[in-house]
Amino acid sequence: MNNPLFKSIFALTFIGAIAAGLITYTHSLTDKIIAVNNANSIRSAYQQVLSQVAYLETMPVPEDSIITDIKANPVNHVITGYIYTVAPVGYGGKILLMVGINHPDSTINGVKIISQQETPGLGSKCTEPDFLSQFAGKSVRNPLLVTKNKATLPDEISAITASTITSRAVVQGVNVARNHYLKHYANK
Amino acid sequence: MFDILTKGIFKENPLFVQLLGVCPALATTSSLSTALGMGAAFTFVIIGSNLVVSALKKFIPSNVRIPCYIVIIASLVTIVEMVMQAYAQELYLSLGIFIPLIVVNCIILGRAEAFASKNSLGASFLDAVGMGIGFTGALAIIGAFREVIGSGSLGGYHLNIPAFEPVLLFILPAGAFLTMGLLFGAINYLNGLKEAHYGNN
Repeated sequence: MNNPLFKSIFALTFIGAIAAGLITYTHSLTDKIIAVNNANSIRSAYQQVLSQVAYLETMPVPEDSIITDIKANPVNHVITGYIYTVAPVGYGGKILLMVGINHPDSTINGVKIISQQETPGLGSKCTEPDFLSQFAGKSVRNPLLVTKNKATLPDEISAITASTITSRAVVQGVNVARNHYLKHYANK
Repeated sequence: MFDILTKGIFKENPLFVQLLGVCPALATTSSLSTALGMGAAFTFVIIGSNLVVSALKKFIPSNVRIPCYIVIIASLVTIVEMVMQAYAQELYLSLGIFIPLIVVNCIILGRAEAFASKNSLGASFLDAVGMGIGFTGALAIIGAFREVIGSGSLGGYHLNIPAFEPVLLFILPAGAFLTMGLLFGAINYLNGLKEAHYGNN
């Protein structure tokens, strides 16, 4: 029993088993809280991009698209809006964002960034209201364009300074949602 | 006794003097708040790791000590990650990938090997607190500098410095290298002056 090999194996196994036990225990404690946190943050995101969010209905999602989720918002059996979750590729990877579209007046209600890994201090400004508030009220009839200057035309969005790639990605995401809405839901 | 605590802050500062943990320091110092968040998570893990390693120093055979340390550190990091995700979701989201990367932070493994495995619980605790403060402080200095120069704000609050245009380069990776290079140079210069003054012994 004083064999050094046996001692090493025993020590490593013992430490591994204790560690696994502790991790499992922590997981069982935090699991539900994390799930509730995630559900809450998604719920609050829905409420930020669309007004009067009630019971959301999941709609079919096209394949080969950056759209990851579509929700319809029926209020008393009349659909008042759609929420698209899209994942365009930015400078530091996928940007997950939600686009709320008012129905049937076909305007953008709000855009919210759910997750992003853009450059801190530059592209990460895409989460700020300075940039996102530009989308509210825009019509979905025409494609939105990114401009590096101050936006003057109704379909223009001013880019974040020194973060054109991020700005284009967000606008592309909104445009994809916009196109899908126009094609499938706008005239219903 | 007090020396064990303070050596991590000044004489053996993990980042500025030992040049350990440079990689997370480059990555998490684009603003003061991410630097402090990383520092806090790091301090928690190094205190836990030093305590566990010191408590188990007689039990861990020397030929498998490194795998044992890694298992201990990785478990602590996983626990910190889950607790943060449950109770501090904002911080968890802003630190992202850097939390799991604490596992391979060489300062923590270095202190387990060089200090905690040879010293008592109390001394290991003080050593970890000192190293934690030293590393957090170093990150905070770099983070504050880069945030002020690079985004013209500090701790997220916009500083209205007249006639000052933020230099975006400083919040990009290249700015991290520049800032750290200049800081290390300045510290070496000051140490050189001190040696010249007191004589080289």
